Amino acid sequence: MGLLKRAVTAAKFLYSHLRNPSSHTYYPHNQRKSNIEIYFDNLWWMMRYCEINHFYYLYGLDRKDGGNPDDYLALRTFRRLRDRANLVMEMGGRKANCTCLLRDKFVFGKYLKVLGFPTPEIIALCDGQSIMWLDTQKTESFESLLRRDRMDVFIKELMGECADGVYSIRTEDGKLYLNEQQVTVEELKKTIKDKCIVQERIYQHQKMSELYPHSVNTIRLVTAISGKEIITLGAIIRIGVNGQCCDNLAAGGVSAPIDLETGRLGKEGLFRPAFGRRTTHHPNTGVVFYDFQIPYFAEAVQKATRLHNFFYGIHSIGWDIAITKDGPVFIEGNDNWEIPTFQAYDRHFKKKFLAVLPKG
Amino acid sequence: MRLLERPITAVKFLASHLRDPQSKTYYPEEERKSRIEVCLDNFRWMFRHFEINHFYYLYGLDRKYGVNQDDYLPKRVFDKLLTKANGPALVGGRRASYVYLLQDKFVFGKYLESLGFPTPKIIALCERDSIIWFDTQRTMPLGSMLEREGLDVFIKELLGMCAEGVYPVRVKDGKLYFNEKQITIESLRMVLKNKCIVQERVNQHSKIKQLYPDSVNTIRLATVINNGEVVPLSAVIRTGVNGLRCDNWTAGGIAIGIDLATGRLRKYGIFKPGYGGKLERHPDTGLKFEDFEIPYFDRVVQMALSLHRFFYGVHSIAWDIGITESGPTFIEGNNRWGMATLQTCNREFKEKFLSTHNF
Repeated sequence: MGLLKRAVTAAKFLYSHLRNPSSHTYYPHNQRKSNIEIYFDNLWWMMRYCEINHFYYLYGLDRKDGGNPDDYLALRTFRRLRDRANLVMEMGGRKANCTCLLRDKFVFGKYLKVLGFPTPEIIALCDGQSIMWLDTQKTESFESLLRRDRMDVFIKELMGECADGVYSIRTEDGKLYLNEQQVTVEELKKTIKDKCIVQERIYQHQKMSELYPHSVNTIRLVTAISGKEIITLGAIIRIGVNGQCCDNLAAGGVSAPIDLETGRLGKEGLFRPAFGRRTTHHPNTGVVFYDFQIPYFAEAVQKATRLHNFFYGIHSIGWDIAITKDGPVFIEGNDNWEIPTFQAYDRHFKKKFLAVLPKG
Repeated sequence: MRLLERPITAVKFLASHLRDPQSKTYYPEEERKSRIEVCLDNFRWMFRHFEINHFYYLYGLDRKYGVNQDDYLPKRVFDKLLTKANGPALVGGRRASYVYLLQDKFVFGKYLESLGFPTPKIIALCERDSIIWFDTQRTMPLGSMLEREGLDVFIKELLGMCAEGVYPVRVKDGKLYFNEKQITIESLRMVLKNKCIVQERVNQHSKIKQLYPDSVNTIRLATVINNGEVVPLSAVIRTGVNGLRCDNWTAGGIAIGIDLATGRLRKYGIFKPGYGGKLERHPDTGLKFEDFEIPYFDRVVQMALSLHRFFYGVHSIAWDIGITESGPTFIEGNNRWGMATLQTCNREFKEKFLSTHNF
């Protein structure tokens, strides 16, 4: 049944992929392959990697003089290799899975804080019933939120991913605002289903706001353990668009590559296939990407590589870093980071990643 | 082959178990069962639980009156429940394994420090060739230890267990001492196989030293999450003996039960089978166990309960807690812990432990 379902999905995908290639392409001005060639390219990818290549157009594989599919790592293969290296640490004959250090936002925040790395302050732990304030070490009812006037925080689910379960909370004059809409404590309680952290909001650097002011535009920097050293594999910036308050690519945001040496953005940014194509500037602010210099970028890279030393059990990490007026702030670390955007910008990314993978 | 091996081991064990019950019993002063009864008891345990009861005499099951096998949890059942309950937990709608927070001594120490709980200070992370000193945030060669006059620390392997991979190291007059013997940096390097923490030594409370001064005598307190609330299960204190520098029960130390309500020791201390029986006084210091009051014990329990709330993904934890002049200090937390001493010293252990397993 599963096999039949997969075959039907594959056929549907191929059909939608080929229906109108010119509407899918990221390179409308380049000479492109014929429908038949695109069809065989995708069929070949499917047979070779047992997966649909959702990023065929993003990688520019429809161009006649475009890349070679062999330069790109299939998502399934990448995830298998990444997880094999990230999920098990072996030391002295003992094995351990260290990923809770990154996946649990409370543990991550506390660990970074004590190691002296900048991260937004966690002020409480809560669930749908009560809230434990870390400053007083007291567990109180949810109403205690209102007693803390002028609070401006995010409530985030402990294990949330991709901006899932993130709520913006504000209190002012004894009133409670959830995502800028006034709500009652009872309504908030109904929204909070799982264990969450209450974390102070950060304000990004003025220059980062110039890119797009409504979201905190974060850097995704990938570091990896290579022998006894920590190296950087690549970096991009994610930027919100069209009034969105998050920078998530899966939610429609735009990304742009960052030159690791200089901290400058590349010429063109990319949207995910469902949200757009290529762009040289931000669609709302008009800021031209090329030559936009990220403030404190060298410090962000230096801190991320130093920080990875304390996550010795995880081979590669995708760090989410915001830039504030005081410097970089680590928002998250992801052991389950994804490769497509990095590959789309850097044809040698596959080679770089495979070169640092632990042998065996 | 394995099928044949197990009955042979069982028969060998039974034979050794029955050869000289007098020397094995922990209760020579009480009326005891005949060899046949002891043999049948052990057979029954084997058939019922598919395991050899290595703690038959420790639990005092050879006594004629006052004990019932059913009051004790078999090791196999306990291990199975523990593995299941402390496995990946459902937190915030997603499954994750949290035991790493306890397994890795560096992460454990730093996590506790960040939460404001007392724990011996970690001053460096080291490997064979290098050491990261946290006060200067600099990575230096291992030999830089010699420049730290007066250094008095434990070097512990990150994932070490049961006092394995723990090396007491001192620097005096520019020389390095390992277990009080002078060594070179080269020989220390040979010993260090994996990443280690360098942790300050715990100076225990003078009252705890009265028990036995040559080891850090730690409390083993088990806490468990029961319907969202953390409760204490059972507690013992372990002490070294006969010059032993560690308090490890499995290495020949003594375990003495603690009354959770009062913090007073119970009447008897016990050795692991093979090392001795039960005793009322410490054989080296002569200190009488009964009614010896552990300093700060109420704080020990309160802190362990509060701390376990931050380990929401681990069902039960056995904490190793040292007592210093200024209060308790958390040395370790164990997700895989042995129940023999805790069960021996607390008759309600089985009932309490099983009541927290609601699956």
